[in-house]
Amino acid sequence: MTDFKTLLAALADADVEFILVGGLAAVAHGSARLTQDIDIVYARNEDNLERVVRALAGFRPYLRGAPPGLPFKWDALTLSHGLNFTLETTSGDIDILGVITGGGHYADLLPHSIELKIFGRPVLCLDLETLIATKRAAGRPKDLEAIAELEALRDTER
Amino acid sequence: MAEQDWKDPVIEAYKRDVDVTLLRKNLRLTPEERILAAMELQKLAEEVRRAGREARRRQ
Repeated sequence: MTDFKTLLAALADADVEFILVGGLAAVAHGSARLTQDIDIVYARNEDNLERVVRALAGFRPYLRGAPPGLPFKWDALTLSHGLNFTLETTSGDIDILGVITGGGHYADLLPHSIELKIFGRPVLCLDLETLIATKRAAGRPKDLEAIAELEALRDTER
Repeated sequence: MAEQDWKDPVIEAYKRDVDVTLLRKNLRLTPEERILAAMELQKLAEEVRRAGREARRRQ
């Protein structure tokens, strides 16, 4: 199980520049679908890499599904050498993404994000229209139901 | 037809099965309440999976 509250609070408290995307962003908009992890798009500047590392270090992040014992070091250098990381932590699964299909990088998504107050902290979340666009762009059959639900949400809110 | 007017027939077909009553219920909650509810749903799903595994082991 992923402790959404603990991980989101840790990121926000460390002043990480990130935008909530994916299934949990859909939940924040009202989706009723089960989601098991957190997906965020993070800014790739040096300071922010340090903040991401600091925020999650206490949760012992490791590459999800990788065999134990790999020489994976959780530091800013490792983050700078990669882009998208699917991680497991002591508080559950989190994907930290430098870029997403159909949405781009943090700076591209920033104008399409909304600020939510979650657990007493401001958290940026991808807006509903862009969330739908990114799921469409991903072109995965498993997203068809999710897109239909998000569009139904949009139609219900109108 | 303008792009915004175009509707994907596959998505439209899936939309017919969306339970709008659940969405309306969720829309009455705050984003924080929705996330907390999702955590409860995760816990329930995990418990059901655990029970399923246990039942299969007993068979």
